[in-house]
Amino acid sequence: MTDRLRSPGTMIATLIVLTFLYAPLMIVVLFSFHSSGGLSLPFEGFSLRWYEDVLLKDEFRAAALNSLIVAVATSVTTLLVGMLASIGLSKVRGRARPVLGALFFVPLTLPGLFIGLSLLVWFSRIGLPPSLATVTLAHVVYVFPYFILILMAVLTRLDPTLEETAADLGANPWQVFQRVTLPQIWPIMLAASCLTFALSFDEFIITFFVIGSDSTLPMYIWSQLRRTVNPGINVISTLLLAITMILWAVAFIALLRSERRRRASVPEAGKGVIA
Amino acid sequence: MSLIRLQDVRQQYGEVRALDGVSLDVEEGEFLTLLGPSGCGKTTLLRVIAGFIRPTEGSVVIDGADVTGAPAHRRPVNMVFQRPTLFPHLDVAGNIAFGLKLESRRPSKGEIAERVAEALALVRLEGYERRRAHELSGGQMQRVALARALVKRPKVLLLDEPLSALDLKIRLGMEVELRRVHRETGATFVYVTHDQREALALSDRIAVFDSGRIIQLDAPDLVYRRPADPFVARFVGDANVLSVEVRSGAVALGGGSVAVAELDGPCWLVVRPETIALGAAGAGIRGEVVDVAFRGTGTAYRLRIEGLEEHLKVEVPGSDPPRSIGDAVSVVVDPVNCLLLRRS
Repeated sequence: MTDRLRSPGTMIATLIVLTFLYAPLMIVVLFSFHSSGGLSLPFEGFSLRWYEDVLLKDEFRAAALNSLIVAVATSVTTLLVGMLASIGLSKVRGRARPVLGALFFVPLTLPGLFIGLSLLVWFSRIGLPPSLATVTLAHVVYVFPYFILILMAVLTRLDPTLEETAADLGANPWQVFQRVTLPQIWPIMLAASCLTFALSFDEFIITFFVIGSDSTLPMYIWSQLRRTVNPGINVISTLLLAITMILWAVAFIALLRSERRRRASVPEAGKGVIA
Repeated sequence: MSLIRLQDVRQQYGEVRALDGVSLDVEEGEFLTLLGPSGCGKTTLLRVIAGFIRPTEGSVVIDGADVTGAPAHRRPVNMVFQRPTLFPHLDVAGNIAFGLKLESRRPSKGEIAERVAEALALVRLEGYERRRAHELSGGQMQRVALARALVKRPKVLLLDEPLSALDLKIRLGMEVELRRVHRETGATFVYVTHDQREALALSDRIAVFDSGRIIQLDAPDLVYRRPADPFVARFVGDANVLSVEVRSGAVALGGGSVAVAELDGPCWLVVRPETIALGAAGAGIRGEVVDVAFRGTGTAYRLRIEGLEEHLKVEVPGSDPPRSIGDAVSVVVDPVNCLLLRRS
């Protein structure tokens, strides 16, 4: 492996790909701090003026608040419904499980356009006027499979003997969940909720279909782009990037921690002799 | 009245009959072992007693109360599982206190700490309260699991092959511990194992299982000396079970004979390897050595005997003269050490 990386051809190809991936991001971040309004090189110096400019705009604040409301509502709803669904699903045995699981996961493969359009039709059919509520509902539909997928991966690996042990020690089903299952899966639920929050926070296509007169951050960026290329857009994009990256980092650390703890505490099944 | 009374318990999984009409009384304070090969139904029965499985038919009475339909958390029994399943998010004290905090009359903090310390002392892990599961060895984990079950002062402690995941040296030490804990607590132990040596060493009584039924229920020495059928004889202590014909009070064997009186006709002759003696080749039953295994305390031989399909297993003390493969020997079987079972 190392030898191949050292060959000049491979190295150049790797560099090109990495540049292609990260340069646009870097440029957006860099120019959000640009002292002049220019969107092209040369870079003339650092300034926070565009941050000040954007953060003081009422439209931006309203859009950011809407995004926050939708993302919180989406992730909390998904957390509650998704937790019940995945725990139920993990208890299903036999042939029903893959079928039920597939039904939950399929929306993952649907194009956003399709989800957006079908929900728009559905909401108008049942007489639900477009609002932040419809956006939230649409986002729940969109992020739900991701949540289930992450939680199921963990739940199916939980040791059922631990729950039996708790029941044997006198815990009723609710106490088993509260005292044994929940402490084991909360880091995963935190991680999954961070991801659903991030997915909802910068979702555009579906939102575009089902939103009414309100605006969310991605909608706001898009509306700004339609007029002029405003340096403030770099600022909003950078903020979005920062929030999303922080959420992913929290999710990743939470996952890592729970995995380490799980490995350390219960001997693997079928490992045979434990010294 | 017995502490546990199982009556005609049946358990059916689709086509598979895991328990085929088991009736069993467990007396207060006894150490009862359910012994059998894997898949014989012994663990299923333990789980029926614990309340994890509701039997298809039959009844379970514990301490005078019919608990057949009661869930696990409402039964006065506690279980130690095959693998040491400590709650990963709690330390040792938290694990042991888990059941205490769920009692309807929840003990005070001080009382909980006291009983946790007491339980740890019982399994000889004083001062381990603040340890986490990953800081313990497998044997220590299993001792914590034992303390966690015992701290509830259960009427019955159920143990599902608790030593099978441990390596041999720790296992032998844990056997001593289990006997001591049983003596000190006076609790009733129902123990599941497939290891006949463990069963003989630990139990007051052994119930030998096969195909979902109890084949024999007796004290260890009786199970060993008076097996009820060829299966028990082969499973416990690896006896010679020979298919023979008894004619006028004797069994013809390899040119000699063994005088037996009780039965007549087709029989199983059960002889323990260590009750057979070897002599120099000559009169009596003649055999030829086909396999030698040094066992430390003695030597195990396999002999070919004329007219016998299987090899005869013999174990002689270390003081016996050594023999090698191909040697001709004479075999001395004392009728006192023989058991005849009717063969149909």
